[in-house]
Amino acid sequence: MSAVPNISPVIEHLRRQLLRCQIAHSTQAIISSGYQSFDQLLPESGLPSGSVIEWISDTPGLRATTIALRCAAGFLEKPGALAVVDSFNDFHPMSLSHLGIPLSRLLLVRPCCSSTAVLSQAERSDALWALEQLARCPGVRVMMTWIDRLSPTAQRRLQLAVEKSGVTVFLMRPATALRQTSWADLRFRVQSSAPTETTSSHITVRLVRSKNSVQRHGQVLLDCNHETGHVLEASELADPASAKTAAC
Amino acid sequence: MCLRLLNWPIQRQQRRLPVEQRSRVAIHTALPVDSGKKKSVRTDGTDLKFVRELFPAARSGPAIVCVSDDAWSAGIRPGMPLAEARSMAAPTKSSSETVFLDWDPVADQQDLEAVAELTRRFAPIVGLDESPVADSLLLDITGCAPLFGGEAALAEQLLRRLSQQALQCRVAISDSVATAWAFSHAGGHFLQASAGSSRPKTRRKASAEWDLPVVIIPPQQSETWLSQFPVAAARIPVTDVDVLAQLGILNLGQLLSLPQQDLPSRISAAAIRRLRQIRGVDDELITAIPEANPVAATWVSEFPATTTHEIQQVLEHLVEDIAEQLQRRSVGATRLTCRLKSEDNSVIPLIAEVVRPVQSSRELLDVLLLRLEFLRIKPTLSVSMRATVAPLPLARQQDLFSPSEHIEPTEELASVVNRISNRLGKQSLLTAEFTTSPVPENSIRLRSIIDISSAGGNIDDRLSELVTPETLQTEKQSVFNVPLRLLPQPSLIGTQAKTPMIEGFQWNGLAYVVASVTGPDRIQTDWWNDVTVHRDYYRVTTQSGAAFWIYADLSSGEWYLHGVFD
Repeated sequence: MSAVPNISPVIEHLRRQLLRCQIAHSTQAIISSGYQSFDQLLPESGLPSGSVIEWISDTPGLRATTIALRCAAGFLEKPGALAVVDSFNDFHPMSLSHLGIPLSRLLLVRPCCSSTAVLSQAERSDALWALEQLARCPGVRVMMTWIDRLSPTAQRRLQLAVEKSGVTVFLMRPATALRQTSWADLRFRVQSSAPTETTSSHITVRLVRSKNSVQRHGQVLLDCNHETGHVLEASELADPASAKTAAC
Repeated sequence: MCLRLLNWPIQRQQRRLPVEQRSRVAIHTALPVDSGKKKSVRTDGTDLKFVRELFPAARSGPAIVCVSDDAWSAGIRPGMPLAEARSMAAPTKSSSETVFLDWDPVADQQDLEAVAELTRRFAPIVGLDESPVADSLLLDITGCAPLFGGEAALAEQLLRRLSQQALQCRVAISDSVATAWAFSHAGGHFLQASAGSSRPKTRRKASAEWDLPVVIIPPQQSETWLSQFPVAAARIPVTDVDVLAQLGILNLGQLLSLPQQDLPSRISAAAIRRLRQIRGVDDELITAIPEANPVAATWVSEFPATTTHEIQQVLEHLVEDIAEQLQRRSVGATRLTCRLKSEDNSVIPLIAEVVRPVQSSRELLDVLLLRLEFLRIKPTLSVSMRATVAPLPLARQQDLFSPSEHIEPTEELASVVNRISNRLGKQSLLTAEFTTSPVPENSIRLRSIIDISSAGGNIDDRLSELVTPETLQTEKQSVFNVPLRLLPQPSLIGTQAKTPMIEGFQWNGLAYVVASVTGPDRIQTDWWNDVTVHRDYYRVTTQSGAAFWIYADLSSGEWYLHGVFD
């Protein structure tokens, strides 16, 4: 009985060819995320400009914003501002320069006067209006905001706006957004992986949705240096079994 | 900017006289100044008082106030009694007869205000010099220079425009009104400068070094250069100049080096105010001259406009009218002020502003309608609209067939700034800058981008900075890792003063168990500050992997959550 040929390289080859055709027809520029392993995970080997990208964090404090801003730094090598729509009035840009973004590039939009954890309907609608206005402005390069609920209509309007203007929108969303429909080009989920016997805890960034390419899933492991605040790619550790064999 | 019209009363009269009589002109007070028939432009008569202080001869009879160069050469001097001047002004074979004219300060000021209309294109705010006898216009050119290709180009175009009207001027540009005035009047007030006792053949030049058509003073440089100027260049009253002269203080360098606390006992409050202005301690406001022919439009109807849609249509009609006027005058609008008069005679103001001057009716209507959304509309019988004008930005080349390739990010950003600031308010659009404070919540200063212009900055430069990629310079960085989300108010998470380290906390309805701790980083501010801060900051990682920034308040022993490492 002849061995079943391994078809996965063929599928991978076909997938790459399909993707190349898509990229050839796309007008979106592809920008490196700044993380090599992260770029390899992405369908187009980078983040597309003129797109909506969702970052879903399981819980606050997992450094999803830090990772997203690190990715935004690559976009800001071209003209355009970084607009941050800060509805909760708690964004503190002191660490921007740590992430490679000059403070002079930041345009902070605070549509709400009050600093409450829950937005009123009027505040929500103001924030959404500001978001859409900025998404339509070619003078903005990257935009970031924190938003929990977003109607499909609002998402579609946002998508049309960024397609026309070339602005890249980073939507920072809570885990509840996983249950909502999404029109985003890319959707990432940021989680914390529990420490094991051989590894310390990591930040896991999982690609859960990619709209404009064939379905692809994967994840990257990132490490955070708590002293400096830098989030770096996790260094690969040797397999403990092979290490034991080598020792023998 | 200070625009000085040289020897203004003479220049004004010369423009009215036939050419053959223009060369030798002298202006004198009409009658004894105490007769009560004199004209005074100032209600309190400060102009006459000023002339009387300068020229003692004017107290008892008609005296010469100012003279043309040829009259000066004939020996006629300001301050001379009129009778004496007439005796010296006998015509000779080589020169014509001297024309003696009454001094008319009211007409001088009216004509000066007419000159202000010629300068409207160069500055949104034009005001009159506050001196008792004004010869200058003060122009607020903040943010206008880039529209002409720089301050020098602006001054050059302004002088060219005025020279077409046969006006002789001098321009000084500085970061404050006081210094601009001083550099354009290097010898003090124009009457003061000619009131010397010496009688040289040619007119005295107080400071030939600064006798230039355009002087542009770099920021922070003015105080050094002013030091050689006479005390009168600070616009301080004549009596104070005399007092200081008796004390041997003749130039501004000497005056500015005196201890400030000693000055009030020596000189008047007005002089102190002028010195504070010239030092840059106090700002000087320019009182704008109302436009003679403003860009305005009005709608009146017998039947009221009752719905928002109807008001919108009225505004659209008025904005188109305004845009047409702006195009005709080659200027842009920075502000539209509307007054909606309702049936019950109440007036609702509606004001929309843009950060860069625009001429397009679409853009103006866009921002106006955003403001209209917040108005409670009443049945409206009339709407009046008035535009604050400013020079248009320099035109740039555009591509006819592919406009998208010629998008200018700063223009696009200015457009979105207009819309957002008109709907959400000026304080909703902020830029950030580092401060020197070690306290985390004070380490960043947020400033409204709209207020940059009013604070003397240039909004075009700031917009350009926002969109221009640059290499990351060595900016101030925190000595330790600061979270990207800092709670507006630190959240109290524990009050166990004796516990060395907090083991868990609750925040936003969720319980967190601390798994690891890094720190502490101590922040301790100086005791002489209003609010002293004594905090030990810790970066804690919870069992769920989330990182928070908490601190122990060393004064109270309480624990607070201050930030989230998001």
